[in-house]
Amino acid sequence: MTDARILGTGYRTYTGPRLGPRHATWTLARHTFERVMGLRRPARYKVLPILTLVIAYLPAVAFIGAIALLPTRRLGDFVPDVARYYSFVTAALWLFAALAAPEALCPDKRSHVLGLYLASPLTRVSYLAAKAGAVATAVALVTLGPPLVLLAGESLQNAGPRGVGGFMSTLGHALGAGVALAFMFTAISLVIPSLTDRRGFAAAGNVLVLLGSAAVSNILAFGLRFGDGWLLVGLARLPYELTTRIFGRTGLPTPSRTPLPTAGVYLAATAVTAVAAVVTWWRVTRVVVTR
Amino acid sequence: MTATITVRDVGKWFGSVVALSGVSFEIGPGVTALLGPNGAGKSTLFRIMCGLANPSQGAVRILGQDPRANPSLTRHIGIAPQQEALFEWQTALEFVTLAAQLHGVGGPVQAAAAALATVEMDPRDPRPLSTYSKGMRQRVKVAQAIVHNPTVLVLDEPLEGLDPRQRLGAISFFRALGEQGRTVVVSSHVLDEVERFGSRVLVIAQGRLVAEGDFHRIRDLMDDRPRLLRVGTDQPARVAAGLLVSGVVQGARVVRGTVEVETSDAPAFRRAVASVAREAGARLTEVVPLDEDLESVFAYLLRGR
Amino acid sequence: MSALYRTLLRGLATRGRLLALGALAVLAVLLAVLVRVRAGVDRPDAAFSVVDGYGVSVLVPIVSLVFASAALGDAAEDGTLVYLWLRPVARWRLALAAAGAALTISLPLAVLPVVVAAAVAGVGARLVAGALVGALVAAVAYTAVFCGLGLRVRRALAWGLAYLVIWEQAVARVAKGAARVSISVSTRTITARIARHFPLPRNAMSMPVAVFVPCAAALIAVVLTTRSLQRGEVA
Repeated sequence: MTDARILGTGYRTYTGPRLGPRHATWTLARHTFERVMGLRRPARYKVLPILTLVIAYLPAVAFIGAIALLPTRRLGDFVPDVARYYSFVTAALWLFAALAAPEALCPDKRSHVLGLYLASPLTRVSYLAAKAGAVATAVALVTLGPPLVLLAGESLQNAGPRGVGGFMSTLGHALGAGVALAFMFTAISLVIPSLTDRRGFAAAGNVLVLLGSAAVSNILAFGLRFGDGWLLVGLARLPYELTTRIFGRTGLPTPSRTPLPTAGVYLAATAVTAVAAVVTWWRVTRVVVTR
Repeated sequence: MTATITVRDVGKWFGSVVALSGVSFEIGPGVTALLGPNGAGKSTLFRIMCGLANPSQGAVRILGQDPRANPSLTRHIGIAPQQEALFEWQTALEFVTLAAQLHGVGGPVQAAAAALATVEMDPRDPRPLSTYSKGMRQRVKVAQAIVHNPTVLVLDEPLEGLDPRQRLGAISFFRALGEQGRTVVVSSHVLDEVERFGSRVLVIAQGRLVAEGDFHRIRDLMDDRPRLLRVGTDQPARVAAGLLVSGVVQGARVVRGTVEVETSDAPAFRRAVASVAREAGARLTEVVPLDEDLESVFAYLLRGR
Repeated sequence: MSALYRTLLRGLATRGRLLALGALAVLAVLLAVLVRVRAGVDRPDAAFSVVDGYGVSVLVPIVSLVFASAALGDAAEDGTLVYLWLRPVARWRLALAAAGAALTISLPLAVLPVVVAAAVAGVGARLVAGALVGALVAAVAYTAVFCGLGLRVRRALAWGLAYLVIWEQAVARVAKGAARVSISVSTRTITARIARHFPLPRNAMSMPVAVFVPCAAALIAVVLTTRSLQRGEVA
């Protein structure tokens, strides 16, 4: 005859292990990444992320195919090496970052869910870290992936860098450039979403910043000849200048015909990223959560 | 009763989700209540009735015409939809005046002021609608629905957000509109108050029309369910025993000093209860039906859905 | 119709939008002032890059997108469209009122600054004329198209941006066929051809085609918007 038990009905407290703030941060980051990429959501939310990914990877795949199908002597300068690949994906990269960052920050404010998050083990700083990490990971899919795919494809067909040393060097540069770009794009694209709760408006703001800064910097540097330094204000050009410097190349043509100083490029990139990060941090830590 | 709104075999689906299926009914002048649990398809049905959505199947006619084919028919329709959003920057008067202007009402500002006064709102309130509470918004919505004197009035959850005194006021207001000969369709969850609109109901559950008509008659039709009645007496146990022995009840319970019985033959029970009480030497203080109200009818209809 | 128009206009003119986009409008004029006062520059060249590179390429499309997509889009999204739609008003009136309201804001906020910038830069009346016609045609075309987009699509701003960044800034500058159906290339062609002596955009077309494409796009957009209003499901 076994003993009987009543296990209790109604509300029961949770007595299991509590996973703590780090797990909360990781969970939020993963959830945000899924949201940004349209995963676990209806098909229409996947269209724009997939479209931008295709635009980013397609040139790499096409070039690998060209290497495979065309004789080497006819390729000539047609297929870029890894260092020059970044110019092909600028449009996709910017659109992706412009849309991903608002998707990460704005809905929480608009639906007032931010207060719920902050009532959990998350702090404002860990909340921001999770969000930024998710956006950076998504952006890295575009900044790291395609150049590495191109490198692999070229190397497998003996059209890549010479020797193991050359390969490792290019690999290191590609990783460095990809990570640096991911940081930079994430920081810049999070600023405007931290200022508003309207997702569409923030995305428009991001695109406006990109296109507007490009136009204005060109006017100031080329048209008005205020000096080559103004080119670094152009946020479409700055990333590209940065990647060429990482690969040890010279940059794009300037009005004075001398390339921009490497130190200046690094400084500008660091400054823009740092300022953007500070502004975002300041806004997120100050946003009013309760009504 | 000449039908103002005719719904014939209406179905509505979104992809593979069926919101409504095979719904047919007619509504005439007076107040009709549309009841149903959440997700039953009430709002979808309202939208289709007003021409805001296309039925996937079937037809809707208002005053004999298809509302979607005929935008001018909207002169005769007023709707107070469920969602809260209004033109937040406007005042109540501006909002209702806009409705009057778009309907081509002569003297739109005066008509708007009159409509607002009818729903006990101050037409001269300078505050924007963004500052209004839910109950105030509700009344502004009703005002814009009636400002052009429509024949058909469709109100989606109009009592939501109103305090009890306002609810009573709204109910009597809608009854008055119905008595004027307008066709008023109201959806509500507040069942005991819907009873006061009038007794005509349409019950929707899971996209299907489950019952229509006077809810008292609906109850009468449910003869597979025994009636529940309460008998107040000073000798509950004896009366209960006597009723069981007499065979007019299927069950009897003593609850808090009264007897609750189930019977499937209410007339026979009524004839028997007095003599049973006399034989038991008990006094009867009341005999009250417990499940004649709308809530019970509703629960019975929806049981198992 | 004027009641419709005024309501839609008031709904669009929110402070945040006006301030942010107004600042960009002011920037166009500031750049033109710099062109005027700065010595030792190729003034016509610099002035043209302000009008064409910043004004017609960036300012006009983005300003038009923001206001046009919100004209019917905001009301459709929050459910207030029913208060405009369930009325005995012809659907084309509603479509035109929305486009008109959006245009009423785009004209002073985008077209006017571009024209003023062209005038301030002081390189001649032809550039001013080119700026006026090009910016005006662009504003009308973008407004009509994005108005319809805002009604039909949920995240109209995102889709509009995708169109501007991917199609107009990238694809149409590269592919000749795509350029023929690009509002940007058409309107920049109009500006350059009227202004004369300025470089045409890549894949530029003849003047008749350049005028036809945006006008046809605007007309088709208004027709489609009207049909959407007639047929569409309104919350």
